[in-house]
Amino acid sequence: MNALRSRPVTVWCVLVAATLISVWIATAHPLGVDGDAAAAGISLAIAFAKALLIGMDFMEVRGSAPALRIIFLAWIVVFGTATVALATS
Amino acid sequence: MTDDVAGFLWSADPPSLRQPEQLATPRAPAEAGIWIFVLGDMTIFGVFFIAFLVEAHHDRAAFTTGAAELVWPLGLLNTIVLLVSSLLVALATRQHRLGNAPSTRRLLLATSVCGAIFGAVKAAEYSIEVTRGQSAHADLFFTFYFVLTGIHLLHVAIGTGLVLIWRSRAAHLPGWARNRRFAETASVYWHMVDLLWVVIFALLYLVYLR
Repeated sequence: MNALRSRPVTVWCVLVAATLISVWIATAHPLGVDGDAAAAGISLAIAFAKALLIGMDFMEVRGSAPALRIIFLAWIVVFGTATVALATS
Repeated sequence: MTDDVAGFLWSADPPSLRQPEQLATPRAPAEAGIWIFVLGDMTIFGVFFIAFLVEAHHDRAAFTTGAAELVWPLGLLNTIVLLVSSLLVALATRQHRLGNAPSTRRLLLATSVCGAIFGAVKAAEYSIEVTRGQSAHADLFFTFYFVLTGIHLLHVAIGTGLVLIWRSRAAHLPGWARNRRFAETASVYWHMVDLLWVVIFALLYLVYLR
């Protein structure tokens, strides 16, 4: 029972929920006919948020040295921002 | 030199604080070398992601048509499979640190099964696309599709191999101390494979779906 209440399981539930939400947004989003770019941006933003969670919790970057955390966060911010900007422009 | 890099990436904890009994809450997983590789690999994929979107701007119709031809439920299935595998590896790492070899081995076996399922689903997907007349030379969207997913599939195969070696070592060398480096390296590598797929799935299957 303790394993089911552990942080990895909680993180995993969030990751699965975020995946299903991003698929729903991409396939049946309620953003209207002009909302495709917004849906694309949201799907990518969710993907990079998931990547952040995987890195911080599963790869244990959260507990590592500041330099590693900064480099990892820089990857998320740089490529997340660039891809969302390109997908929505 | 290696120690300098490790010192830069790592906390300045003395080795005594990284002994097995202290690793329930580690200061840093794996070794500096694997992180240099992982961050480099992630950056190469990141450049691919940007190139994909830049090219999509030049030929939006081809990318929209290509994305519509992909079987996104299979992509979703593989996403769930990899997320399950990441949870299994996270739990295996924890069990290994606690010295529970049988549980570690069971979790790693389940992880390798997830790797095999991912490969089987991807093979089925490739088969569907090839039957429809698609190939890496069909158009730019499918060039990106086959190259990105193909390279990623190679990562899954390597990761599955690492997990199986880890499982083998967990049986023959009981105790966290002797296996720490390899176990954490395999764990970080496997999670990177999951991390990259999460973005690849959004990029190829979802962004230009509508």
